[in-house]
Amino acid sequence: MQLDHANHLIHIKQLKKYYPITAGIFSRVVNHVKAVDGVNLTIYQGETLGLVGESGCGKSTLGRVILRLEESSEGRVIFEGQDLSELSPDKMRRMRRKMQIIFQDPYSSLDPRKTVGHIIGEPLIVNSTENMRERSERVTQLMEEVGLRPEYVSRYPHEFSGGQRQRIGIARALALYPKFIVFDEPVSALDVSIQSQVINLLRELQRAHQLTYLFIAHDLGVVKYISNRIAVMYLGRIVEVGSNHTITQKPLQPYTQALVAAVPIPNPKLQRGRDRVRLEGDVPSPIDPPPGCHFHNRCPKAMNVCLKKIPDLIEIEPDHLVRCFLYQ
Amino acid sequence: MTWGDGMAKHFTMTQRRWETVKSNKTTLVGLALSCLILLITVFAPVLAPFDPDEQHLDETMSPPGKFILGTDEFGRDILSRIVVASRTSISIGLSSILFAAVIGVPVGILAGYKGGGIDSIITRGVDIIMSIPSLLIGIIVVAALGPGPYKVTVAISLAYIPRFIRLARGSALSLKGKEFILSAKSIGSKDSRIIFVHFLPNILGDIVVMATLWVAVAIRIEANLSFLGIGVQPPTASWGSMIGSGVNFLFSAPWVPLFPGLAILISIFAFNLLGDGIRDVIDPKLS
Repeated sequence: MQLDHANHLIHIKQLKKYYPITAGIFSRVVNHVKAVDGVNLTIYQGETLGLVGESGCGKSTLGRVILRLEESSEGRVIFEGQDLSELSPDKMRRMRRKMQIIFQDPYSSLDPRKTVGHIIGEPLIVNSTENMRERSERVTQLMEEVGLRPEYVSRYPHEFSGGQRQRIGIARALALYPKFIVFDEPVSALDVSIQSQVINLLRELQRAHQLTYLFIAHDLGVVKYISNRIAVMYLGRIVEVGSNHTITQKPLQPYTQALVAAVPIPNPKLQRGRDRVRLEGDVPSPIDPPPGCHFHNRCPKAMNVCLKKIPDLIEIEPDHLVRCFLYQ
Repeated sequence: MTWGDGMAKHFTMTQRRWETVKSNKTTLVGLALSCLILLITVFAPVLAPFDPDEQHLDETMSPPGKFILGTDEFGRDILSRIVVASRTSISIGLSSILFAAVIGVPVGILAGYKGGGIDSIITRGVDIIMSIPSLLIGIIVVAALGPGPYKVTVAISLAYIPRFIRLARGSALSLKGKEFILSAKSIGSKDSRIIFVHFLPNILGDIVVMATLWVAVAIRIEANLSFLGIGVQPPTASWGSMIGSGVNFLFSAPWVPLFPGLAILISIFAFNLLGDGIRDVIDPKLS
């Protein structure tokens, strides 16, 4: 698919989300968990931007802060030219129909006390756009679209499998004709055989409705399959952004290289012959991240400067941004 | 059947729920007993064999026999008094807890859901009221407003609002992290809708079970207040005041305090069974 670069849907500028850590009886703020630490990103109309990173790197938080499901500490999210952080709660509520989210856990993302028909129809009730008859027609249509049998409309979520539940969540997200959907690890909790079904469904829906996706996952294999562009996140910062091909074939940042090398190749000969970068240790704590480049203590190519200064995210070739002193 | 077919859907839902009730013997017993008690309460004046305040002075403290459950120290028929007193005790017990739940549960959910400053203020307030024994709150309120059944109801409600707040807050906190709450927010639901449409049905089971237990305690507090002479005023009968005055004759005429006590025991038992049953019925996983 050809991307229309002139037409960006979302602009994220210096977005930060710090969670205060308090202590003592007066809840004194002693430190912060820097879950999202100054993220700049652009999401183009109609693309799928994959967002990868280890567990705890802040990618889910970023997804939620973009949609203002959690308030940001600093920075701006500009959606269709509108600064979301400046909208009043009431205006924000009306804005929400344009942007939806699908969660990782299909078991806790559906209200256990509501029937499937109610869950899928609820966005329509909340935004009171249709009467009851139109609503039930739309629910039937949505269920068919995501591959659920409309007869199941009065069943409860616990009567469905994980994959079916994820489809229910997708139908709910589609109900208001959104433009942008955040997928927060939508297939991580599903069986591999179901994963591909759901991902193919997402691609079909994107084509049919001209949707823009932010696809968050820790599995680069899945992201590689669905994304046009990929952003790599490490400890609250974006370390590399580029097209799918660039990131998976010619990654520059050492962390991205390690991530790409960790994806197994389904060919034993090639797999054995690979020159692999292996990472040691765990992700450092986001409360007290290493100074300078956050990655320096695990980086095979760390230099002196990496300990002292934070590298900038710079465009080293068109549409390829890297945060690393090796390329500055 | 389509989803829009409201009547049909309602019918099957009701049917499904009724099946749950029928399949559970204890729920049926609770339901039957509770209905019986409510019927007795409604038709009390018709059902009572004697005037509950009439004093048969030549037959004081007579054991069960001619008077089915005997008479008290003034020669009043105990059965008639228990039947008529059910109006005071049951209505005070139910209405005070219902009132406390209606106020306390939404406030508790709000505190648990919103957190932060609102939560701190509400929680501190709850702690302060909970540090005062509920009987003492009753005494303070009655002292300020004067005695009488309505004032006793208000007093018991005030004592139980903080308990409902605390209970609802705890349940709401455990639900807050669930993603369906975030989903509700992301489709543009208002906070009021999130509280009443998503939180409330999911914590109703906990609330109903505790509420039925607390009805029992409310009946007891009413009894205590009446025993202290600041609740329902004589000669109006309440189960608590009957036990209170009858306790003096526990050994010489045990039927005087025993039967009103049994009445409390049976009603509490019935409400608890019913509460358990309601919890099962409203949970779709068990239907």
